[in-house]
Amino acid sequence: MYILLNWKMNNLKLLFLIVLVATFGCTTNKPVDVTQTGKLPKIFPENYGTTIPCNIAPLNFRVEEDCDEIYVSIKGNNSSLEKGFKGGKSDWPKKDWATFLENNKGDSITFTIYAFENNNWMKYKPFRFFVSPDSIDEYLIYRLISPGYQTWNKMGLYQRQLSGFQEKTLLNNTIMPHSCMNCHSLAANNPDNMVFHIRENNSGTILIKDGVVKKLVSKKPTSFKSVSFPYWHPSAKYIAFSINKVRQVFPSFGTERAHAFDMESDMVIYDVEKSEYFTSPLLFAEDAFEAFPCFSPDGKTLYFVTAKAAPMPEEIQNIKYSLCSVSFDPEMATIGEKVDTLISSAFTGKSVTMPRISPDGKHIIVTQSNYGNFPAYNEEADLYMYNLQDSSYVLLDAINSNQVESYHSWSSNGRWLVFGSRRMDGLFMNAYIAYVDENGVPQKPFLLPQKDADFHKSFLFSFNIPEFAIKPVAVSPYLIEKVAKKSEDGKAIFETTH
Amino acid sequence: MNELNYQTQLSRLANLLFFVVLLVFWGFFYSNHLVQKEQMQLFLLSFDYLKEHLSYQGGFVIYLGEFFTQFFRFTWAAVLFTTFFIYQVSYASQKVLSRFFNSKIYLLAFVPAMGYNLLLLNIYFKLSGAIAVALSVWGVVFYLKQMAPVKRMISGFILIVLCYWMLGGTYISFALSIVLIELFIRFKKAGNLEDLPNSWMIISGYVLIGIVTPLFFHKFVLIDTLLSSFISSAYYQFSPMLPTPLLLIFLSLPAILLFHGFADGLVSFNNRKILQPVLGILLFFGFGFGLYHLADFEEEIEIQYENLVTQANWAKIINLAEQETPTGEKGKLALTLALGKTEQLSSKLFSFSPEINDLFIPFNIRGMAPLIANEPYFYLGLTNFSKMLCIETLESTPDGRSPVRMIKRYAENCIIDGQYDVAAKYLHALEQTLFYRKWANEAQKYIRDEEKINDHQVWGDIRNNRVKDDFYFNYDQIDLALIALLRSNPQNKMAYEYIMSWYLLQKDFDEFLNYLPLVKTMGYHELPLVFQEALVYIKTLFNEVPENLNQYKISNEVRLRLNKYAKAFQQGGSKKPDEMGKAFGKTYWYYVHFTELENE
Repeated sequence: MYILLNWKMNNLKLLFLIVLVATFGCTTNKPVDVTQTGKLPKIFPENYGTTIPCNIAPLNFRVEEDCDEIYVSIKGNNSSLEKGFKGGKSDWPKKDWATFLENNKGDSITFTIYAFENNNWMKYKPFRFFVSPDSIDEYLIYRLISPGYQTWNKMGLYQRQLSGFQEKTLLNNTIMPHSCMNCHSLAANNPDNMVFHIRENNSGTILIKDGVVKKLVSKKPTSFKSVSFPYWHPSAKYIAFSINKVRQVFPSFGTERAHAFDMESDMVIYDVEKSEYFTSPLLFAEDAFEAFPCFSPDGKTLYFVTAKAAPMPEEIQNIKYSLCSVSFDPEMATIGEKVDTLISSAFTGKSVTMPRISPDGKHIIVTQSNYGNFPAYNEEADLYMYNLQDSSYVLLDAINSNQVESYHSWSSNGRWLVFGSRRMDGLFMNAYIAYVDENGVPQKPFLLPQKDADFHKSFLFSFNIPEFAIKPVAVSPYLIEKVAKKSEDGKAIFETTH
Repeated sequence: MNELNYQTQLSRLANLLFFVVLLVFWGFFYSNHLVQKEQMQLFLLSFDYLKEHLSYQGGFVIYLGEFFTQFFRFTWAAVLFTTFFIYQVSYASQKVLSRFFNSKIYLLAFVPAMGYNLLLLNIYFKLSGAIAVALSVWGVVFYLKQMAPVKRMISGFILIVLCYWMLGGTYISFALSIVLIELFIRFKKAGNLEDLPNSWMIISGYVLIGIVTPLFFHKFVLIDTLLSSFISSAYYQFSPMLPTPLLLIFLSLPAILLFHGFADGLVSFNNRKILQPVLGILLFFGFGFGLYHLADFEEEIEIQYENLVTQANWAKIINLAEQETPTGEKGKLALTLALGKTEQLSSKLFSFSPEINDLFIPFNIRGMAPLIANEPYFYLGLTNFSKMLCIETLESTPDGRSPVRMIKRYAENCIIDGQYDVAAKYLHALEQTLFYRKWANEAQKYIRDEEKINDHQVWGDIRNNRVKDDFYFNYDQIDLALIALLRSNPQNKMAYEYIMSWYLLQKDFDEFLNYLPLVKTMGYHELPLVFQEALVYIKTLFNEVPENLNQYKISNEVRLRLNKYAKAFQQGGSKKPDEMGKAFGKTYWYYVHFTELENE
């Protein structure tokens, strides 16, 4: 009996060990007897040759060859990193990865992948990354939303640590049921000064100023409608807004599932200290749609897009926006009297939207599409760069795809650009990050890294409006909820809570 | 008969009766509600899915509920599992009472089970709630089994936290029950358990931990409303709300304990012999009354139609409607779709007292878009609009969960439209389910295989019928979409029947006549009955009938029937819709004269 029991126990231990090794074990020794394939491995995300920040989270990938396990060797001039992984997916320990990048910043690193296929180790052609010494802002703030039409169930604003994978909820539909939260904007990438909108339930604009949360109910007693698409003045004293009446239509045919358009659109500037709106006839013309404001880093110029007003949606495919600018005096809070056109739709025959200026004030990146200013589903929408020094205007080949490239924003040091693209499948918008050198030349982008390389196989949300942040948002979701729910729509103009 | 035998027999009879009543009710009167619950969830058999559910309060029992609900596609499984879990609530409650008060029969123990069963009549209450209530009561049984006071105390503290995290709001019932049990022990009112050391402190500790635990998780772990942090989303699909009946169910076991704790000693065996059957009869009839009045049998029929559309069982839909004409929007939509799919709209539409919106459900962004709303667009070939309504349904479920039926339909639309990467993503989700895996694996084989898709019996037809014109969705001008379908495929008979039905329902005779000549190209052996009735009536509106209308043969039967109708109408029938309805309710003429449109 004792022997039987002992035998059972030993076998159980052995079984447990086998299960443990099979589940968590990984090859630790570098494969020796290998067959050279002479080709690059198919990996997802395909990041060959990208430039990555020295402080980015591990760029895990899946080898899309028919393999049971992989062994990956990364070599830099100053150190190397090697590890075997079960199941064909890398999952680098964060600390090892961070140390490796730190040791090799400013240098190329070479990946060599060995895949165990049909009982043989296959060695694939090595590929390289460049580790930029320019670090990326520590956080990325985005909205996660299903690519829906008019209704939504779950959406939320989240902040993601870029040196790791931690994601924190800023606000979501669990605590704010049936509310839409959108258009978050930070003053110079600093979340101490942040603004975003809440629509439907408990609607209004939430303003976080130096850590204090206010609800700025955006239904104005005057003829103003809801404010949207904010952009902070670098002094954090002003916020420029569009005031739009946005509608959608749903095409019967093709992959463009919806077109949003402005029925009306004008612009106003909000004086944060005086709690007042002001505008100019140049930004509030009846015969034009003005939208998507953007202040220059010195705060003296306001960029925006504009198009001649037309009956909508009849003229939806003919409306084309130009990039314009007007001077702004932050001391006097006055808007200039002359509008300059930088990119004329009459000249290009295309429409531009969402101007975003680099922190050094040299370049403006816009999304260009065939028509309109909401190119979320316009497959032809691409990112273009306008050089403010020589007025050149170029397509950013390195970062565009044959799918939509849309919402983009700059890091605080101006070396990194994050943008949304539907290139993965044509439906879900994902965040891509690209290096932009001091001359404004962008490099091949990489997909926002995820801990599980299979993350995108089953993730049914879009990354919307990615914005870099230099530090985490310090305000709790419950405080925002409290402020948002405290003010009744249309009654209180301002509400403060500490 | 001694008391023990009497109690045992009464207990067995009551349990058997309760079980049978549950089985019969769910099996014969309300099974479609249960079957649809399966369509409203996407249960993934993956470790990540389990992990995700273990990371929030009540998630474990939601996982269990979804696990069992995935079998609800089989009616027998839906009925058996539901009956089993409801019965478990009553059985465990009896165990609590018998273990603590040493008796065999406690009819009040049926109350929590009856209560949750009545809640389940409402489509927004979840099976996971029944499982949670049952498990929490079994938790009390387990607690009572711990004879040693210290062991009991430790299990009490652990179970309160465990019940909270695993089961959500029913931990209130558990915590209150063990507090009452300890109070009864303390005052020797009942039970044969030893008093806890420092019992007042421990009882206070139970109360404190019951209050503090959700607050702690609300503050430091969860992002959820305060109410939902206590209750969880395991019970009611609108988790920010706490329906009073649910709260009463949480309080029912403690209340029953309290009642028995005080009342048991006061009633003699002889009195109990009379009182128990009386109570049993009262409960039985009360439960029956509740089932009858709280059940929504009209909704059950609506859901039955929706379920039949999933099975594409067109013959059964028509057969069901012939027995009793559907009155709800889903049933009517299912019927017109079934008629359209079987090319009978043109002959039978007006046999079922149609209304103007029977062909499509007007899109309403308030509330949930019905599961069935996308179906006519799908079968007609308006795949973009079908996709739109699939997503609208997905995004408007009250609990934010993804209905597997919509995921499947969306993936099908994407395969038809050649959006293969998107289809693959949704199919990947289905591949992780127990019952859709095989279908999804098969569907994966169609990705990028144009020939295979074109040869598919359903997808090939729909692909062939899709519109090739670009226009925007507009419910009020849906005829333009139907015309575009005909332009893309002039042989699309279903689209033709829909467009003609649309114009007839709108009483738009000009457009009806405009498209009537196409009838010759659609392969009808004779002019369909509805068209004959419409045409013969329209002809009466002309002073001089255009020659081209005489080319269509009207049967003598239809002519004679119109004459009879006209005579009856002129002889005062115009003011007697009911009488006219009895005689001519299945004709187009009756629709024209007695169904008022909004613009009339």
